[in-house]
Amino acid sequence: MSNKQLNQVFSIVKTFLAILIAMVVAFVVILIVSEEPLEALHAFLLGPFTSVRRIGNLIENTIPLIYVGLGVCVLWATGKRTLSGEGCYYFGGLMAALASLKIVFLHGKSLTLVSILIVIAVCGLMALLPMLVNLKYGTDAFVVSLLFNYVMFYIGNYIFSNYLMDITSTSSGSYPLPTDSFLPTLIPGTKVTANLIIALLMIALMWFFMYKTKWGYSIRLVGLNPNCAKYVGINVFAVCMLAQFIGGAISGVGGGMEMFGRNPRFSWFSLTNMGWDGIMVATLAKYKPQYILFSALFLGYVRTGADIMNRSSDVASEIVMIIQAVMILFIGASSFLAHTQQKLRVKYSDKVRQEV
Amino acid sequence: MNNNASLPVIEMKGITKIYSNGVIANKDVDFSVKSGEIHAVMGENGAGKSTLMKMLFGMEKPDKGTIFYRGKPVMIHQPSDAIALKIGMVHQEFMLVPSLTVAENMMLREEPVKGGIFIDRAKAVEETVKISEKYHLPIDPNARIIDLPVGMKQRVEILKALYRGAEILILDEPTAVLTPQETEELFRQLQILREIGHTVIFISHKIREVKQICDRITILKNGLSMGVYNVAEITEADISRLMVGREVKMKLDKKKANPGDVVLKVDNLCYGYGEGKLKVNDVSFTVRSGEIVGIAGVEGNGQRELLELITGLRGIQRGKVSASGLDIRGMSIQKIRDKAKMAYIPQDRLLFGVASEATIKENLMANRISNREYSRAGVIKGGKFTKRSRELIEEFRIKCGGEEQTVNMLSGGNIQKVVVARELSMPRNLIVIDQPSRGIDVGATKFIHEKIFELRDANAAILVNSADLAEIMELSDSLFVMYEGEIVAYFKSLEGVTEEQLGEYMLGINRQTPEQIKEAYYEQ
Amino acid sequence: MGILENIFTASFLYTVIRVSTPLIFASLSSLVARKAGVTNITIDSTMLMSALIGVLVSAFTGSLWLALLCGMLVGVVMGIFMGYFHIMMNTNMILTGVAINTFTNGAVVMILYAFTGDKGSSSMIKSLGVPGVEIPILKNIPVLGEILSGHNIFTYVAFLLVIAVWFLMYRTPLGLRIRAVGENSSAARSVGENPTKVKLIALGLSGFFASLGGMYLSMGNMQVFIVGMTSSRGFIGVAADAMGQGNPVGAMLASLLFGCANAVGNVLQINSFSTDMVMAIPYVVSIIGIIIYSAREKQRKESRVKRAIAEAERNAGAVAR
Repeated sequence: MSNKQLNQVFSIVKTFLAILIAMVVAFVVILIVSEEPLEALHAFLLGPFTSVRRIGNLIENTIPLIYVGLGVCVLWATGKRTLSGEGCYYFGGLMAALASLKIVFLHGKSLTLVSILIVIAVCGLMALLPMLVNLKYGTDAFVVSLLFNYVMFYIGNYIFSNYLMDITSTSSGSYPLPTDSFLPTLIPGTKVTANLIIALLMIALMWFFMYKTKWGYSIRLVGLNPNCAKYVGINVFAVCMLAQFIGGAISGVGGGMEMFGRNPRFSWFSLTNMGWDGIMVATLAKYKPQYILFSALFLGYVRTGADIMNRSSDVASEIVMIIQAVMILFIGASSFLAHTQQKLRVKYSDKVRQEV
Repeated sequence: MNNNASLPVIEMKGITKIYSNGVIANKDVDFSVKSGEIHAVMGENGAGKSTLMKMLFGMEKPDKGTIFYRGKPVMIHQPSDAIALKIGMVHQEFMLVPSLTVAENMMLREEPVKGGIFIDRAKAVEETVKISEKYHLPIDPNARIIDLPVGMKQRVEILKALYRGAEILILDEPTAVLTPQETEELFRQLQILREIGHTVIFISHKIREVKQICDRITILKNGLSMGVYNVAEITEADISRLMVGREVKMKLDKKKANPGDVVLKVDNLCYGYGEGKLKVNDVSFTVRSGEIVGIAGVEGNGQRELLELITGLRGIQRGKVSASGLDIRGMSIQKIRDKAKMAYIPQDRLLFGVASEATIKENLMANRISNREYSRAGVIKGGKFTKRSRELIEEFRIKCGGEEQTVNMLSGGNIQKVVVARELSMPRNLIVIDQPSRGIDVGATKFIHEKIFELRDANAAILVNSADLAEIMELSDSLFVMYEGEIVAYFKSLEGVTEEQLGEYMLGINRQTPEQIKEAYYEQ
Repeated sequence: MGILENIFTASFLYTVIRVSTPLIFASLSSLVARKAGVTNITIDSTMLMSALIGVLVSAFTGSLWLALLCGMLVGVVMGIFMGYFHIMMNTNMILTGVAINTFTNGAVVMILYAFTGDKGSSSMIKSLGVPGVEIPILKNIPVLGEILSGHNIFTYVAFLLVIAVWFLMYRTPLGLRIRAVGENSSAARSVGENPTKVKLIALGLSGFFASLGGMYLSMGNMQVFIVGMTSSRGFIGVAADAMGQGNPVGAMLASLLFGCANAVGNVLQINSFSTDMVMAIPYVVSIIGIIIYSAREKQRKESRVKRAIAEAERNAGAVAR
């Protein structure tokens, strides 16, 4: 086995082992806390497939995870890690609501399109700031993006409470979003809209962008070796900014799309935590757009399962967070299995030497 | 002197150290120091001096061999073991905490305490003053490290070691960062230390300095010991020969150069302001089309900085560089590459040359993704790239399992060929090459050398730096020597020039007149 | 103006101190970690977990002291646990943070649910609290007494802790070693220090401070645990610390600024103004603060180079003449 194959095998083994450990931890927790653990497990593992509505839920949960996961793939691709996805997802939702409620001269699908374009522009630009000050002054991009997310939230919440809030309605939230701008529903009886198709297209698009265009190539090269990128003449500054723009825009679109069919009103009263979820989806997918569908589906599945378990048994749905955490911890730990891998590496290279 | 003087205080026997990347730093090296002497460890960069001393100080572990302290075998696993044996080390990169004061740095981990928990700062200052007076090394104990000049920082390092009771002091290239005055001052201090019975191990590649203050020398070359000599009994020329001399390699057939117009012009280039000593000091020279100009010198004498200034990786502070008639100051690297038509093969291929986790193909396309031939409207023409990559792999004989293999799977020589293939397969007027054959096998070296000549004969201007004297002499049509950031010698032709002769310039024993050096700059 | 009247009152300043208390703990928590070279983003969840454990232990054992002890212990363990993964298992800081935060937010609800049958708060059970205290002489001074006296013990602890941390960092061997490891760990190694050990100690301390902040929320400010009751105060602590530029007093001042904005927000809300713009101010200020700080550092470096070049030019001119 060559070193490359060894690395690949270990990468896969590590991921599955991490998932396995996480699931085992979950089962143990369920066994401890539940009076009827088998029913709970059944609901958790098979629940998501027991009805059309539940499959719908699974897909509904998966779609935004795809967007934020893709967002993090790009946001982090240059090696400089920011949290902008969190703020952008929230702001994307807000901007979509704002645009579709306040642009009165457009209707129907043209309103949808214009709203999303606005979301792309605004969220993309907002994601630039943490990176800009990092590149210009050497500030910590992570801390600045963390702070800036709150700024985005409060600005957003200001807009929400002053311009969109429907005080007359009993259900708290914005004025009802115009239903003519909603995307067509794909599965009757669920809220799975054409957004699913757009999300899938987005995966393909981002894969194409990252691997088949010169910009994606430049972003990846900066991430792989910034010195080398600089040395071959790539404009590292521009490339880092571009990655933030695109990553922020995708995260924003993810939030915005939620306003075109899934939610009747805009009703986010705090940051959504979706940016952090995006980090999990992307990490599980090894930061490669082509794997995002699987990781988002997996997370969507465990979440939906946990929700169902929560409703039909005595186990709280929050168990899903423990699963995610254990998984991320083991996938992220570079030293996890590193010892075994090194031993195997030495063994194989000895063998190769003997053969030669 | 007493009887102890003849006994070695430290002995290292049969020391071998192989780094995890396969580089052999030391092989079967024997080393011994007598009590109360200043002992030089000499050798070029990469000869294994620092590694040997780091093992003595517990920063690295030897793979083979034993260390004896006053005749007894000892295990030194970590610096604290060495400190316990009264060994101290002044590293080349200072091991100081910039925001802390001198006294705080001095006392780190040995803090005097009052009231059970608090640092006794008055005592710390007092102790610092006491030790500095004892050794006649005056220092302001309350100054912050960040505000001190380099010479003072070094003094803190020395005091730090002495405070921890060091009787054997290892200094790793202490003069590399010092001005001549500071160097004189340091030497005076070292002599005082010797007088009071301390032992000093002095790592250096500067023969003058070693002749000036050392008693004995151990010379290392390529990780091997070349013997131990009494300074009084060995000439500078002999030292030079032992350090840099090597067997004559097979010469390539080389046509005579036919230089044309000036392509690269460097005027009064200076670099390193604000960092102590200038790394590049008033360097002027030209490179003409159809010639290969070599830079000889012991590594760390400003060559790398010079090349990075020329290629745009570092911003020019003072002076001028023009390539293909364009002043490169302020130009983006991409423009320098494309408009000034400059190729650059860096010395550290893993740091700069390649993205090792990317595939060969991806690395080969790095400098041409914006080229119309290879991308349209931003979309990369994958098929074309694959085809071109295969051609280049063929042409440059890169041994690999196809263009989709990642670069970190290749041998050093083949990684270098990837860099060379990428850089030299674009139309370029000027080619800057730093260490073309470092750490690569003979076959790859020969191939790269042939390629360089081929490009010269096709009228490219070529500037090559190599620490390998034999290589640089083989490649160059004309050559200059750098020492301490300056050009100290220029040879229009290498006919009749010997390695020994060059060695004397490289090690600062000799220096040409300003008029001779000026010839490196060709006036049209 | 009603707003101004409401702001310049003793009770307003009292509120500022009250709402700043958890932020001070969080900023000190961030400070010790950052001095050791680690950006701790698990402070918020550590606070939450300690807040819960304190409440549960006090409710089920009836011992306030045991509750405080357990809460602190949980904080220390979480700090070290984070250090274990980040430093010893080489996990990226952000991923470690994401994992631990997610884990804690889940675990907190599960534990709460298991013990109280409620997923939102501990209002079903009766837990103990740390009382407030009147400061003997101070309380009789008009205005000042109103502002400074009568706070919860945790509040006074927070301010005392600022001083203690300052002494710890700048006057004790441990502080010196933490700073040395954070700034140049090979320097520390060269004198025989074990940087991993020092970092783990610092993170344990960080967790300890965070736990105090958490317990203030559930056992001081209120006597109930509510899910999400930290409302990102742990992250604000990181911001306050960044703004205070590593000085405990600076971190305290920054925390007070955040607290002030929070209190102004409350006042404005009463006056039916939008609080959001006010709430955003501290974040904007700290972003600007961080930028100015880095820009100044950068400029200082550049001007040193420029001066050296200018001097060289002058010398060269003199020689030419």
